[in-house]
Parts: sequence; C-alpha cells; structure tokens
Amino acid sequence: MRKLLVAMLLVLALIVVPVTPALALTAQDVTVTATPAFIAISNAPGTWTINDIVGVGTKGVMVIDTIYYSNPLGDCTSPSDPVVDGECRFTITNTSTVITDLTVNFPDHASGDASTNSDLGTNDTTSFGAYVYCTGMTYSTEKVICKKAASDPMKEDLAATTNILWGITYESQSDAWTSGTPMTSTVTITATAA
Amino acid sequence: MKKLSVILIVIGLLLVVVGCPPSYEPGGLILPEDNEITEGDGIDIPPAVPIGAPPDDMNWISPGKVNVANFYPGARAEYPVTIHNGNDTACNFAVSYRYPDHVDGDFVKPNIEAQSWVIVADMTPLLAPKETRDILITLEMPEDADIFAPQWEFWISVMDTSQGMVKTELCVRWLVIMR
Repeated sequence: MRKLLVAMLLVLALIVVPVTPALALTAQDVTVTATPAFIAISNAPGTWTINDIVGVGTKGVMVIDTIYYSNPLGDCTSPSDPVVDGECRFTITNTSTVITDLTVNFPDHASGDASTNSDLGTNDTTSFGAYVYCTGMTYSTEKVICKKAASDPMKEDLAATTNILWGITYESQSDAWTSGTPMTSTVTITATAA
Repeated sequence: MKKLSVILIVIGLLLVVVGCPPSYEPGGLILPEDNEITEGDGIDIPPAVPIGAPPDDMNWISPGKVNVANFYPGARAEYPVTIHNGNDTACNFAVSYRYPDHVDGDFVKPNIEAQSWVIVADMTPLLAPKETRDILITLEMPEDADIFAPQWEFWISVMDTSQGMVKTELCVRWLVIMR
C-alpha cells in the first residue's frame, strides 16, 4: 500500500509541476487595450493668405516687422478679450466621441525668404513669430505660442462633438525681404484624445 | 490508508480534467505566448468599425488611445488603427510614427530609437470614397534595447494628404507601461 501511495504522490507531483510555469507566464503577458472611440475633426477653410482677408496697404502683400491676424474683422486687428467667434477665420468641426486636445504647429517657410519660426511668438531677423488663439480665450494672456513643432495645446479637453473657432497671429521677420518671392508653409492642427 | 489513496486519486483526476485557472486576468486583450495575435488564437479583436460611428462624410480614426502594459525588451504588441475616408473621392493618407507634442502625466516622450520599433503595415494607404480600413501598427522592442523609462508615449499620425495649407492631423496615442 505504501508503494502505491508513493507512486500516486509521484504522479501528482508530475501533474502539478508543469502547471506552475503557466501561472508565472500568464502574469508576464503583454496586454494591449483600447477603447473603441473616434477622433473626427475637420478644419475650414484650408488656406490663409496673410493680409488678404480685408487687406492693410496692398491686399495680400505683407510687409516686414508687422503683426497680422487671421481675423475677419481686420488683418491687423488684434482679437479682443475674450476672443469672439467673429475674430476667428477657421472653424473646426468636431464629431469626436471622446474629449480631445488640439495642438497647432507652424513649420518654417519653405520658399522665398524661407523665414523661420522663432518658436518664441515674437519675430527677429530672418524669423517670424506666431501664436494661435481660439474663441472664448483671453487673448492677451492665454494665446499659445505656435512653434514649428511640439507646441503646447491650443485647446485642452475640448468636449466631444463640440465645434470650435480659432485663428493665427503672425509677426513677420524684422529685416528686409531679399527674394521677392512668395513664402509658403503648412500649418497643421493635431487632434489627440485627452 | 485506503481513504487517503482515494482522496489523492480524486485530486489527481480533478487536476488533470479541470486544470489550474490563471491567477492573473487583466481586463484587456492578452497576447498569446508568442506575443502575436493571429486568427487562430481565439482572441476577440474589437470590431473594425466601433459602435456609434460618426458621420460618413468626415475623416475619422479609431481608437484614440492604445494602452500597452507589461511591455519589455523583446516583446511585441499589435493594434490596428481604423481610418475612414469621408471624402467623395479616393484619397491618399499618410500613416506614420509621430514624436508626441505633449504626453500624459507620468509618461515621457520616447527616445530616438523608439521610432525604429514601430512598424506601420501601410504608410500610404489609398482609400476609396467612404471606405473604412484597418492599418496594423506593430510595436516591437529589440531584446537588447534599453528601458529608458517605466512609462512612455508615442503617437501614430494619420493625415489626409489632399488637404490645403492648413491641415488637420489625427493621432492615436500609444501609452506604453514597461513591466
């Protein structure tokens, strides 16, 4: 009987031993989770020619060392505190099902004088400064520096399915143009889940 | 002694038939031992089009965040980004790794090598009007890679390349927690 008992204990031990690593391995599995939610924004209009909304001086032509706004009330008219819808050129239509953050980046110009973004909001020789603002914001204190990359969010925690209007402030470089050729850049507004 | 023998036999049979349940059951998707999901693994992958879809005439992506936990050098994690073309014409989209502009609380921005750990199955998909498509994203960390932070974040950027000079970019945040 003792032999039988020992044999059975051995069998039990053989059964239990292979199970043990499975328990440890499970705890080490990589897990990947995601909530089915949408990010859906669109922006209109998709273009902005500086000093071309109303036009100060020669419409569509910008001069050096001047602050321009994408403000439908006037290209050199600063938005008020707080910013109202009528002072914003762009409308973001937001049908996202989650709260989102919106960030705007304004890379260096790629043609003409190839003015670069100072990343400071202010201009300098051969560099421009840029800010972004949105409706409801206290412009004088809350406008956000629009860098060439990695800007801070213009709008944090935008509620789901809530549209927003926004605009850009641009300060042209402080020194004279040299090329006489138009400059272009592509501004990107990025939406991420908050 | 006979009773003890019977009890041991019963216990043995129960262990063989029932087996041991796992002691850890996370709420998310568990990758199999080879850390790769295939159809034969019997894992429920979330549907390509989640419930409550937004208007058909807008571009959208899903999900907004992907959470990866227990990650380690040598591991692999996969999750698709679902892209919808809301335009009336076929459009090219650019899908790529994106260095984040900002990160969540205790997470940090990735080191420069992280970009090479991310594989986008199709970086320039051409989507037909109103088409919705899954593009598989794979995060594969080399075995000899340094764990530069316990929690880090990167983004997957999706951009409709037909847009004008003021563009919108939709990003999926990948939040990675190392084990």
